[in-house]
Amino acid sequence: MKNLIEISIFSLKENLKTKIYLVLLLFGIGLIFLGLLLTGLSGFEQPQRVLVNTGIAMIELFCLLLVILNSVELFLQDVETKSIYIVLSKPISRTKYIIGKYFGTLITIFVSILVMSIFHMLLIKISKWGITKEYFLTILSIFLKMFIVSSITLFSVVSMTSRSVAVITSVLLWIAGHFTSELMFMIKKIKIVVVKILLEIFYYIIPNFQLLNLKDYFDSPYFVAQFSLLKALVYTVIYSTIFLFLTCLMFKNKDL
Amino acid sequence: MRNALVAILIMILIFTNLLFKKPVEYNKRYNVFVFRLPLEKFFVIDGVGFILGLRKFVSDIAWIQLLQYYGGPPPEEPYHKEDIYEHMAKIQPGKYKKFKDYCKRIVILDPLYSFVYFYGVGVLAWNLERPDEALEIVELGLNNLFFQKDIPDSDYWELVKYQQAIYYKLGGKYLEMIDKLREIVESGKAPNMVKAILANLYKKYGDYEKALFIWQELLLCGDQEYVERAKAQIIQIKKLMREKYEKNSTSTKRNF
Repeated sequence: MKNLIEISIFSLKENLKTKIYLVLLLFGIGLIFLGLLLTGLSGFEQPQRVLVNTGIAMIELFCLLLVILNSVELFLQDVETKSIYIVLSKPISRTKYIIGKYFGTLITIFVSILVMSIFHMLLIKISKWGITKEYFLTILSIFLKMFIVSSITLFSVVSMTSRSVAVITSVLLWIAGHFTSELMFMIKKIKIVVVKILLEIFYYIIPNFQLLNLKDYFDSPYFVAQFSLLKALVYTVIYSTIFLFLTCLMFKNKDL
Repeated sequence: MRNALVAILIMILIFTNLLFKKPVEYNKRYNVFVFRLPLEKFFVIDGVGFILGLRKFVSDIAWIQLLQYYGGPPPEEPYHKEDIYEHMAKIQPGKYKKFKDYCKRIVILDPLYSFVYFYGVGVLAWNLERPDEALEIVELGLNNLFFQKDIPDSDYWELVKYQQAIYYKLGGKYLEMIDKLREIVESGKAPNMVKAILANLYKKYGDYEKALFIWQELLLCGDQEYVERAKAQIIQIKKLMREKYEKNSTSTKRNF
């Protein structure tokens, strides 16, 4: 357990030190600020909505970029600089290394979400608008999505050992995960049975990010009432555990 | 052994998704493929919004684009600098032909964006004199806001008031239409533009006190464009009220 925490903290420090992290965080904050400028263009009747939506969208987008790039970069950097051998030569199992990296990335994302949402809330408060509890729930749902994305990215990078392939896989799964209803709509229209079955299997393997996409309807009490935090938590835990397990399995047998 | 484990994990994934992957009602109901997105020139930005799960953010961009479209001179006419604000006060049938498409685009992106229904219906029915297109937007809104049907004073019922006002207009029952618009304005959810429409109707029918009251309210709305219009209208209405008073007092004197 001690080793795991040490790896996580080391990974967090590494993440925070990278230029990508700082640039993306600054860009994120900059674009949240852009929301304030967009409010001026949105007429005098809908400025709060524009500021809130822009901020939430930017928090999610930049967290996604951070989680994908950090997961890919840090693992491959360890392999390329051979520092992975130094870590693994100590009494640390490969499983612990992967789990440590995973939690390190998640803590980094937690810090980023915290920084960006505090800045966003400050902007909302300066504009003299209120923050609802649904706002916090939406931010939490974004964090849950990052649990899944991080595990998928780690799996892709460990199994494929290629930056571009890992990034593309993660982004495509992110897209497909937000498109599940539409995907089923298309599957129902397909008449070739084999294609239909294959797509159905794919449909049931990819993560359903819409289950966690509260930001589409956080201002509607009717739809918010249908969102179950417990269900979202269970789904996230199962999904990320499985991908993490697969990653460990893959990494255990990998020739470095 | 390893392959069997992977197979079991994939089975768990499929089972989890079978358990959780009932389409979220929001996404099932507002499926992208059910409605065809208008305005092809924005297809890339709209598509990116959909696939990245940023519907609300892109709908805000679309809202700003609608304001820019309607805020500028009519595309059907050569540009005249002096018309920049004046055109919004005019009734312009046949102008801004794509206004309905701009509204539809926003509410396909974010079906819960009630303000767009109110604003769009108001502009189409009274400023652009296209009540049939306004009714199309009303229908779309009633369909999208179905879940508010059981809540009195909800946006759903607000939209029904707009629908009734349009039917009164189509039936030539202008007094009833004004009464309905008064109800809409009094509910507090009406856009400034609808308030201005009602004030103009009051002025047209000689009810200067009521018109003056609405313009005085608009004077404090903070929207520079409406503040400027309110200033001009208040001077005009006060002049008309003076003339009316003088006319009445002259006729009273004559009667004596």
